[in-house]
Amino acid sequence: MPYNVYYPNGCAVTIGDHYCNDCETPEKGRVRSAGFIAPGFNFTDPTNPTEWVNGIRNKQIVVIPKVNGTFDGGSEITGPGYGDQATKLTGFNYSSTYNDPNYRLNADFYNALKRASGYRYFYRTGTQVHITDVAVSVIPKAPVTDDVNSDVTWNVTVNWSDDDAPIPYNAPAVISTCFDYTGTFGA
Amino acid sequence: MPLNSFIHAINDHLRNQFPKDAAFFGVCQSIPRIQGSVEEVLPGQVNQTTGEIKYVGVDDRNSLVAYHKLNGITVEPVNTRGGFGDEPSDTRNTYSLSMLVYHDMKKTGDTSDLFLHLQNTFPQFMNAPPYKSVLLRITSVILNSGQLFAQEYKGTSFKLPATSVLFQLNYTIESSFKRGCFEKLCPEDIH
Repeated sequence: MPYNVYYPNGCAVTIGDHYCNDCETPEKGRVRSAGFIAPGFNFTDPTNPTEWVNGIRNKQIVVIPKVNGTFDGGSEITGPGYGDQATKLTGFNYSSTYNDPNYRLNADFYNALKRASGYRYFYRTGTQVHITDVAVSVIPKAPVTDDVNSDVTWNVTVNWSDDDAPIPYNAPAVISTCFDYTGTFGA
Repeated sequence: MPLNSFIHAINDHLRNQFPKDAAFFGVCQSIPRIQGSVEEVLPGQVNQTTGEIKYVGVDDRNSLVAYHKLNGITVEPVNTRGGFGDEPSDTRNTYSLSMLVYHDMKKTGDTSDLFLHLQNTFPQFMNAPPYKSVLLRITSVILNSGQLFAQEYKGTSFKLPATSVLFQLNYTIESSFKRGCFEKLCPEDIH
């Protein structure tokens, strides 16, 4: 007795519309602010300043308002393809590096952060904040060069692996404002 | 004004290394005055509060008289340092200054020895928060007394005595800072 066969539809993915605007103001570079989000904290709306302020006040969000740094865009991880596909994209290894100019009083902070697990990372470019969906590893260093005029800064590398690139959201002003928990907090 | 603080610190530093009758003045200007029907130009220090002018030039009371003149300021971004946050870079103001030194060789010795002493005692850097760095550099020296006297004492009836020397030390003060970090007009504490 013959078996019925069917042909699966395949792995079709719904692709949204591409956006085009000749006159769009470009997003400017540099990782200008950075920070870390504690395990268990999730945004309902990452563009809502109130959620950020509450997270900061509860110390579930650590903001480093003024840094300079880079994001490498991701190194692709590929594996063998099947059928007519030569290779298959399986994910990305992402890396972001930033310099924190506040060196003297942050040794304890970075020594603890590098041991912590489960923290997600965010970084701000000109107007957009990007938040990782997965936990990251943090590698802080404070190199000293042989130049009396140089500044000693924390040079921090943040690594993670994920399928998708971080999505940009409009950045609230609170994450670019310098503050200290011992002083008055201003949004 | 921050520049006056820097000059004050330079003079304090030099004063400790020179004879007690050496006189060090701050930023001065060429001041014209009418003497009879002749216009003279003399170096003077202007009191910014009262407008009173103090003569700071050649005299026979001091073995050494030194005053400073501001020639200009160059402003540029500090590219090598890089800014943080949204700021593109720190800012560097480079003040171009001259220190005019009159000395009586009978009391102070040869000019080349005096210059070497000055060069060795001239500060090379200052700690002046919130400036990130303040670097001082001697760039050149003019030893032509006649030329300098004609420049600083135009139209005067007196001349430089034979044993007196006038020379000009040109130097720069390079100050780097992050904009927005000044709470007050001048840094209070300069070392």
